[in-house]
Amino acid sequence: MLSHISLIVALFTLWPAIPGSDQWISRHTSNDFISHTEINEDVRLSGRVTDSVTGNPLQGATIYIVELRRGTSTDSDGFFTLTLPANEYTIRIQYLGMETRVEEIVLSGNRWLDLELSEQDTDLDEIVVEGVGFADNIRGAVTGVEVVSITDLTRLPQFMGEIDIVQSLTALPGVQTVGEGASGFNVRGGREDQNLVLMDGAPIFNSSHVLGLFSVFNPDVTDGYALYKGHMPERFGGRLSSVLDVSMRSGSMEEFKVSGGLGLYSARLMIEGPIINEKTSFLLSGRGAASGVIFAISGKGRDLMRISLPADVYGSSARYYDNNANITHRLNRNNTLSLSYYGSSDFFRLDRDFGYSWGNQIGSFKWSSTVTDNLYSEFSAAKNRYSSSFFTPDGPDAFLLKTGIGYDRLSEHLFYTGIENMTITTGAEWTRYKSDAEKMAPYHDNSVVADQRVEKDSGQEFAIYVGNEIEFGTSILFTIGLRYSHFDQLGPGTVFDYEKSQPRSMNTVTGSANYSSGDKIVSYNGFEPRISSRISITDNSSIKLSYNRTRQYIHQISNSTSPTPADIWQVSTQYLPPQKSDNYSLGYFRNFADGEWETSIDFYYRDVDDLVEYIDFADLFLNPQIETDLISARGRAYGSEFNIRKRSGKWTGWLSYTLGRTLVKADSNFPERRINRGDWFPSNYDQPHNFNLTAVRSISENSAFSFNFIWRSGRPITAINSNYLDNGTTVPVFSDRNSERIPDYIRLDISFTIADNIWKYRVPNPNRRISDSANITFYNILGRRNAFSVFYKRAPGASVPSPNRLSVLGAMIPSFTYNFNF
Amino acid sequence: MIGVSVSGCVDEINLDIDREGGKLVVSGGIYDHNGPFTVELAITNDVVTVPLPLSKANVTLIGPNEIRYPYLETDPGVYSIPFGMVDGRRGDTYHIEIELPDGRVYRSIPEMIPQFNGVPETILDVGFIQEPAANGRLLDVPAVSILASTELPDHDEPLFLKWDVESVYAFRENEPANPAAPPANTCYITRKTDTQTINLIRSDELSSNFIENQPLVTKTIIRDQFYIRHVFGVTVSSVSERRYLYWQNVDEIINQSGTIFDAPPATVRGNIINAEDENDFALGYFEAAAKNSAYDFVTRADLPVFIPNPCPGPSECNNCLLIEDSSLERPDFF
Repeated sequence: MLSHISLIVALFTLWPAIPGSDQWISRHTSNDFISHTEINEDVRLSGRVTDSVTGNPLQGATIYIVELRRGTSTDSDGFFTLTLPANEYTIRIQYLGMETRVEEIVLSGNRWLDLELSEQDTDLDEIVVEGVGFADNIRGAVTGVEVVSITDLTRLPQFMGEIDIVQSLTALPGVQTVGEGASGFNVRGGREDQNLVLMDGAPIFNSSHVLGLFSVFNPDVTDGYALYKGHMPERFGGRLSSVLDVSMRSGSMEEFKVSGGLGLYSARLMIEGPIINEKTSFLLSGRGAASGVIFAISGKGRDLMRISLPADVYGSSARYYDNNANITHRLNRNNTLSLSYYGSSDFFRLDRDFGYSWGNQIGSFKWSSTVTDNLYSEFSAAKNRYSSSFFTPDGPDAFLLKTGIGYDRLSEHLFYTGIENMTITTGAEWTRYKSDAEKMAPYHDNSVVADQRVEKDSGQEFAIYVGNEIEFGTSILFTIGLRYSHFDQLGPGTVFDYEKSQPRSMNTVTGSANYSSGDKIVSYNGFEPRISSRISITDNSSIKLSYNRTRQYIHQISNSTSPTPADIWQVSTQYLPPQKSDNYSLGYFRNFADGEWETSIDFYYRDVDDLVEYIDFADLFLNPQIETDLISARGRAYGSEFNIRKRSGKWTGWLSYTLGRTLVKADSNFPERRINRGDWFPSNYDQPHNFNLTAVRSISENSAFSFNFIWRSGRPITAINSNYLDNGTTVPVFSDRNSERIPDYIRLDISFTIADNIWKYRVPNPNRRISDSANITFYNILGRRNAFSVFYKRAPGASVPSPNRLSVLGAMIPSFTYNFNF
Repeated sequence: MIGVSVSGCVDEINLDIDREGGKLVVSGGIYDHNGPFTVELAITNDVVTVPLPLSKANVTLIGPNEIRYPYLETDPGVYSIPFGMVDGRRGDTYHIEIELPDGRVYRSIPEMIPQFNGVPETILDVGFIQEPAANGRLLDVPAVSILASTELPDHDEPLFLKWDVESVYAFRENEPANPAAPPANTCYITRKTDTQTINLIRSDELSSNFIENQPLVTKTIIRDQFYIRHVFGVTVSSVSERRYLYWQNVDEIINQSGTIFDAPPATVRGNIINAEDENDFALGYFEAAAKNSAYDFVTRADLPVFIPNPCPGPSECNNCLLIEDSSLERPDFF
């Protein structure tokens, strides 16, 4: 319903711009329509690339015009657009893991192509994309976007035997993590919660499984991802820093398939197939890991991987599982319905000290509709539930602390290509956030902890957007978008008033107001312009500029080294205004050797207002007046990213270096609420140098060797630099916040992949066979003890805490995984 | 998975960090008695050692009606108001002013000595604890636990309480072989006990006005310091909310659990601020507190093990003042 309403609204809006309705009507009558455009006049070739079996759009497929030695790639919905001189062309459509398709076309007017690609009998030699001359990095409009297919990832070193999207991100320029064990990732110095992470269009609150060692994206059901770190297209919003748009697969419409993998640390299985041939498909997958497996292998020796496991580790436990389900139904050639579910559960306990558990549940419905040859609509509805708990299992004060958040979301997205030299997107989305109360309860019957409950805030976010990509000749491509977002904090809730002349605290409350369920407490709104352009200098070089503003109405409240699963998600309130960011980017792109080598240098600057910071000694849990412990800060991030990529040949890979800073300034009228006297200081994620070298060498027909080397600056910390005595107690004196650094992070991984048909086993049906592969990875082969954090702890009998390095992975981690599908 | 993750490794390291010195440290207070009252001033060192005493400062106590009482420097960095000069009264508000030799002036935020305080009772419990021996085996060794029960008066405003434990034991020198020689001395050695354990309670978190058998310090192992009488004193201080939060924050930074989930540390902010620069605060605190103490003692006759005489033996047996924090002056409560 909303789809059609939006469609009508959009068409109404665009109608005056359409050059003649009769012309528009005639265009979509046939894919082979040829207008009366004169030869050599520029015309537009648009279309969509999908998987012939599942009908899924293929994101990142390449469309290469052989005669012109240029091309483009598809966006997250599989769409592409090229403006070309009218002529006859040979186009080559490629996607990793799919058969290459070649089409001869006569292009004498604007034209739409629906292109389906079939799965390829995979050999590593064959899955190397022949990117020579493709030059999408030069001709694309958007700077700072990385599109990666899941097949790309299979040849990179695999952490603990699994292809992992988040791990792979950290090899890209401008993307970092705090270290192994950290949740999420940081883009251009942004915080984890400033990344919009989408699973098939549905935002997720926690993209990490236990200890951040795996992400929530099961590689068997993932097509690939696009990471927008420089320019955020107008259809995305609600986060400041980046968008990670991960597209998930549907089941095969043609045949039943089983695939999976078994490794030292985890196992996974996926089944897919048609319910109604060519019409309806299903997909079911499950994945899991448990610490018991590794303990059983290591046994009493405790020397597996040459690390000595402390006794408390054997009292510890960690496990996770997740599952995906999808039913897709093709109503007809132009309409597809899809129903998806994702569920996960994580548990982690460190001996008898403490533990966490958390889980995601996401249900979504999507209706994709090619309304006309020029108009595509996607309506989606999603429901998300994220819950987490933190517990201490032992002692008289053993407790269980629960929190959670969820949303209901509706969105409609339209993509229109019916106007000369333009590609128009528009849409709307609505999200209703519902936070669970924070609840504390005794963990066991002997605990003296009393039940406590603190209600948390809820709200709703609405956004509409419109954008247009305009090509001026072949030299200039310009995208301009505008997003308008509106947020309401909704009751029930209590809002406290504070003395203006005093810092906010429990003692300075002057009154309060109570709001009933659904009452609007406070509203925020604003426009978010999104502008990007590409100026081609030559066929092999271009400059790209972008500016965009983003607003974030929901914030992860954390004051630990890395966000924990139990951190609170807090919507904006009267005292917690939305974070606002202005992002600027300027890039120069240059290809060499017919595009075999791509180089780029990207400069970026981000200015953030109302960043959420915590005061010293903030108490963020079970705090009914959390605004008393938070302050609004300013932030800025700037830097440059250098990238050299080799796209073809026996050796492929990239070398990247990022030089950047991320700073925060937390000032206040009240000195005790200032951080570092109100001066600029490094944020938790300020790692000025980040160097990465990733290389893949195809060794033979079905094997490849790869390695990955990372060096980055140590993260900032607050360190003890002196101490004094007060009433006999030795009190440490700490440096300014984040004024010191932990040692640099250095890691080398190597990986060997044997792909396809290891056992040469074929089932009796000649059309079916077992396809398999194996991967051996040595992660952190240098065995370097990279510090995840440095913390201070008193040795027994000592009065001054001393620095201790926590290395989450203190040794080389080998892994072996056997993957199969049939 | 845990094995390769958390096990990881935790090892002590040396950080190459910029040490900062030169920060003013103030420690002292005014209490509900007649003194003497002291304030200690020091300057932090650029290494992790005890700060250096700061001499030649002018320190003034400002009491009710802005009456000023100057401190005198009695030892390097130690400034005192002698007994009887100031009568600290509950309900009165005080602060100090410090003028450093370089001209900078610091003032404390005024604090009132709380009207109410708890009355403690000391409870000593003798038993055994397990301690690792040199060979790594655990041995049962005798130890004393110090507990306190505290009765709170009826009060309207919440009380912020802190408990401190000190112990005093006697040490007697060798008797001289020559009868004409001066008699052997007895020294009294005062120890703050387990100063890195901070015992705090705020009364609005209690369901009654009686706190019973509250364990205060880790158990003290019984050695030869129990040969003569060993007195334990428990002092309960009723402090301001600001001072309470200060101690709470100190407790947080000195007793971190050492996991990745610890809150990031920070320097604890006291109540002494540069008069010219509100961003410049001194370390430490000048408190106004009400104090009540209670004492109990054990002798070797109370102990389940034999305690040998430590003398003759160490050189302290001939001069007990060699023992740190020793004095020939017998405390009133001993």
